[in-house]
Amino acid sequence: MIHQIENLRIGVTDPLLFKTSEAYKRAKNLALSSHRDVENVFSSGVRTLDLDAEGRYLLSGCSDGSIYIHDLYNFTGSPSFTANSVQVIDRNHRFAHKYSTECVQWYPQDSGLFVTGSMDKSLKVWDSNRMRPVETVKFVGRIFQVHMSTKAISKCLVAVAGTESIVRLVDLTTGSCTHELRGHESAVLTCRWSPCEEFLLTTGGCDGRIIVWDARSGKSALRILDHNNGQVNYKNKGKLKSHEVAVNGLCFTENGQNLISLGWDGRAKLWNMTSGKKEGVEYKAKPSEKSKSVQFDVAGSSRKELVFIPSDGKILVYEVQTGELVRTLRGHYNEVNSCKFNTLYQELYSGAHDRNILIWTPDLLQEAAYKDHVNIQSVSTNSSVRPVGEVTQDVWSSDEGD
Amino acid sequence: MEQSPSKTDQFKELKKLITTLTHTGEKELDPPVLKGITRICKISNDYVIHAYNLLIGYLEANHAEVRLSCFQICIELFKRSHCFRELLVSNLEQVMALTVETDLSKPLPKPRSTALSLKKLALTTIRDWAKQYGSGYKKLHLGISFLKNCKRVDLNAMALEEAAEHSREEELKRRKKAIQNEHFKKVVIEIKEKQPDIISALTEMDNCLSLLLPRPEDFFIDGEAELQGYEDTKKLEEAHDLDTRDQSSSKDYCKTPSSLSNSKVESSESDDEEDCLSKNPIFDFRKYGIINPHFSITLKVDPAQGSEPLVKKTEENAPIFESAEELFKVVTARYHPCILKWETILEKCSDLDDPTVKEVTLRINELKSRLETVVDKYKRLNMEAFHKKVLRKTSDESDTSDSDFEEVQNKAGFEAFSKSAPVKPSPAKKDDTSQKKSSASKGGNKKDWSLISDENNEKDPTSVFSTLSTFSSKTSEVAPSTSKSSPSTSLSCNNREKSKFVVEQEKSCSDVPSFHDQPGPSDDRKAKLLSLAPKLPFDIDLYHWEDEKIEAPTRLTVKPDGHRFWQKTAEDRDEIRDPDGEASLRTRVIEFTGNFEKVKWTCRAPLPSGKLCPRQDRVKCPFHGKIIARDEVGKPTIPEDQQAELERLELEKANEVPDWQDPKLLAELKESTGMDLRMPDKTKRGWRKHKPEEKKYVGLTDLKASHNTTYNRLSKKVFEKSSMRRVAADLNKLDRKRFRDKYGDQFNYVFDH
Repeated sequence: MIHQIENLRIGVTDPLLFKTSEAYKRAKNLALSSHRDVENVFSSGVRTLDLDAEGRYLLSGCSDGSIYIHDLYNFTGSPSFTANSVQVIDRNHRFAHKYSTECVQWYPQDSGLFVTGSMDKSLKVWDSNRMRPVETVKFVGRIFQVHMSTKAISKCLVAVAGTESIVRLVDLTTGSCTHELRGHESAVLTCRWSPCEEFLLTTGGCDGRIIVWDARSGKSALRILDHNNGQVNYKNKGKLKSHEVAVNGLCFTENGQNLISLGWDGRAKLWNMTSGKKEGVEYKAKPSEKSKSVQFDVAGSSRKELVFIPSDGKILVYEVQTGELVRTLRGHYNEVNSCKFNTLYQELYSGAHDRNILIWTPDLLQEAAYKDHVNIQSVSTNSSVRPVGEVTQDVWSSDEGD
Repeated sequence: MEQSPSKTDQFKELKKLITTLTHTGEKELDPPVLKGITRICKISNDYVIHAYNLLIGYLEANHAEVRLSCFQICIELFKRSHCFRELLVSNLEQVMALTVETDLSKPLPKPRSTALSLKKLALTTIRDWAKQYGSGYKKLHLGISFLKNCKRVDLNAMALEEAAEHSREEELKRRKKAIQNEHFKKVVIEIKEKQPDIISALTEMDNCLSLLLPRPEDFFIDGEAELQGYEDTKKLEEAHDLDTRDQSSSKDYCKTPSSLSNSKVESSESDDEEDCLSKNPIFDFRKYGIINPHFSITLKVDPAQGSEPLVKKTEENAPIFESAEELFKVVTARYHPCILKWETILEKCSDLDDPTVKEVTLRINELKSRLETVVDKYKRLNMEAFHKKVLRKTSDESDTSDSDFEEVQNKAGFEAFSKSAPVKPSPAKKDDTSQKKSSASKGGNKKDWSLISDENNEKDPTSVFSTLSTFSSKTSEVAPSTSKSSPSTSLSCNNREKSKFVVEQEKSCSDVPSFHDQPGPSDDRKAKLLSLAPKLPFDIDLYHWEDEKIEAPTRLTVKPDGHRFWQKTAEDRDEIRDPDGEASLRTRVIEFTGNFEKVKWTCRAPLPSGKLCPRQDRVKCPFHGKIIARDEVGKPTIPEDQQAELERLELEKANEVPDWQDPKLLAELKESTGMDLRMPDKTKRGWRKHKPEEKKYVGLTDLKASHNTTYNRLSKKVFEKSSMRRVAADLNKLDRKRFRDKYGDQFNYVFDH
């Protein structure tokens, strides 16, 4: 690393290349952080996560309708740090969702506003400073996922996917439903705006289809992504399928060129968004039968992109382009519902059904150094806590020699 | 390094060890097997990983006992290997689901009690792990918080419970210790009290014994001992061990007062030897280290088995004898059990931290050994009293241990037969006589047969009064016709039954000449006979004894359909005659059950053990067939029987299992080789079907067995669909019938069924 920094300084290495390769290296080496925790205040399983634009505030929604905001910045001066919750809307709060908060999202520009979608058929727009909803939109069906376009400039549209087969778009400026996108045959589990095209929306439903929409177009549906790469025409309209089973997770790569979709059968597929065809890469995860929408994320701005796919209690790290399993992150005790990658610091946050949010960091050396430091301290102070080094030693008794 | 070639072997062995250890079904692990596992795992992390994979596999077994043992192995390896810890912790959610039942959809397997103990163990261990290793393995902490937050496991309560249990155990231990201490103190006091007594008794006894039979050392005071050497008795030689004889260069034979008084010199073997030597002086083999084949010396060493006492009781040593005897009694009866009791108590108190315990036990041991030597000495002295006792004891033992055969010989009935002519007595004849005897004796003794208390009941025809009364009435009615009914004849006639026995009895007692000869002084004789004669209680047949014309008894019929107040008048009542007629008033039923006749002979067929069959069967022995007369060795005496016996033996031989099918041998072979060489029994049905699979792991609780309970089996039959249907149909039919009978003719219910 020092060598590379030196290279960078003398101008041998491209700074961008250095950045991406370093990011890749870090993202590849994620491990459970032993010194950073998120304060465990959750009253039930964590359904959804989002990180604000600065990477400071972690917004989370639980399956009992409560919403939490944690401050991840560490101002204590010590590496050992627990991110405390700064805002809590608990279950009994006046404005809390009645049922499970299925999806939360920060306003892409700043942390003054966020939206939440819930099983109680309402979409709420919150003022995060006052911690109260400024707008509540009621729907006919229960909401599985909402998504705001991160690229939105002219209009701020929120796509809402729910038990209705219709995907609705809510305009935040008017606070009402402006579009209805009809095309799915049954409940829509997930929806995603493209990170590069302002009006490109993808939705995945229980009918096993991923439909690509243009929000401006009257005809709306651009394409149904078919796993046999078939073309849409009137004849085969009903036969096209993206997945054999329902699609419960969608995620764009950072540049918006590729889409990764996850099905109930645990198979994740990679789609080329320019051609609309399936790439020959597939990622395997544990089948998550009948689960609602799952949020997963891609490690962006790295040389090779990595995707974090929840698989029961584990998080599988795959290389996007090759489909190679890089790592398995084990730490959760129940199924992981949501992953969020922090592109700035190459950290991963994961919320699971075991009422916990875990932080995965690449700072292994830093942590090791800190461990040593703590060990020395504990030895000097003679505290009762056993030094970490001793704990992780092998202890074979001598009589087991032969 | 040196393991690399045998790596696969090691893997195999590891698998074998883990399999055996997990399938024992024990609550605790077997230390040597566990040690084997840890020994292999210590070699390298590869083995640890292999062991981990195996253990995870067995943790998924559908048997709580397997899981428990498996988890116990996990605990042991977790303690030791970092690698194992990493692996296990990374997969802790699965381990927890398999041991703590975190996943409700996957409950722990049966047996339930083991599953519960596994759950408890797993919870406490995971808690302890988190406490101990949590700083190194973050997921352990997460696991604890998962248990606390999501599974609502109250670890604090668990800890409290554990602490309470621990303190309870401590309390129990403390109390036990206190009790032991008390016992110990008591024993010490008792020892203090009794020790002098015991010691004095022992010394006294010792002295008595040494007086009776001085030790050889006592004779070495002067050198004359050698001179007196040959005057010794053989018995005294025997009193000492053979060793002393081997060192017979000194010829330290000693003398007792008794032997002196007897002063009988017997020739010893040494004399014989000298004789022989004098006969062939050339072949002194001994000198060349060769055994002389001409000599054979047999020595009786065990004095206790000797028939005669070693020391004879005389007037002179009588008091010593008696005191020794008394002391022996006291020592064996009181002190020995006492010391034994102390010993057991001290054994229990051995873990007390009192420093005196050891000392006291040492003392007790010393005392015990001393007592035992003295008692042993006394016993070996073979004194008369003891000898007698021993004899008695041995005879008792022989009595109990011997077969019943000898007992039978002593029996009166069969003895004569078996000795003179071993012919089986005909049971019928014997029965006759014995029955007669018994019935005769019964007549006198049995309460059932007692004479009716009021002898002078007029209505009882057996009494004198009744006869007199009837007689008088008859005479008053028909005066001339008295010749027929003289009192004596009528009596004899009426008491026909009685007289029969009386006559028989008469025959049996020969000293009484005859009934008719001495009519006069017959009063006491009559009383005697009457006391012997069987008597029947007064009953309906006796009541009607003399009535020539009896009307058969009648009965009133009761009509069930009539109202209970609507009785018919007396005339209308129809009486019906008893179906038995007059006979019902004439007969009497006396039940005779007979009395048990003990079998007095045994089968006596020769057994393979050399004994004779001791079974006492009346006619047929279940093993050796019909019981026949046999001689002392069990051979049949009658030729036909011999033939039959031969046939029986042949048949037996044919049915016998051949040598190579000896079940014992086969069991041994199976144990050593694991092959079952038993031949299928072709006479049985279904031998061709493969036998039920033998259980692979014997230690484990059979989960299927629990289903095979009486309740289950019965309920399977009772609640079977077809039987239920059948019963329901029957009940329905009954219901319908009842309904039809009641309401079938009513218009209202016609359409109801």
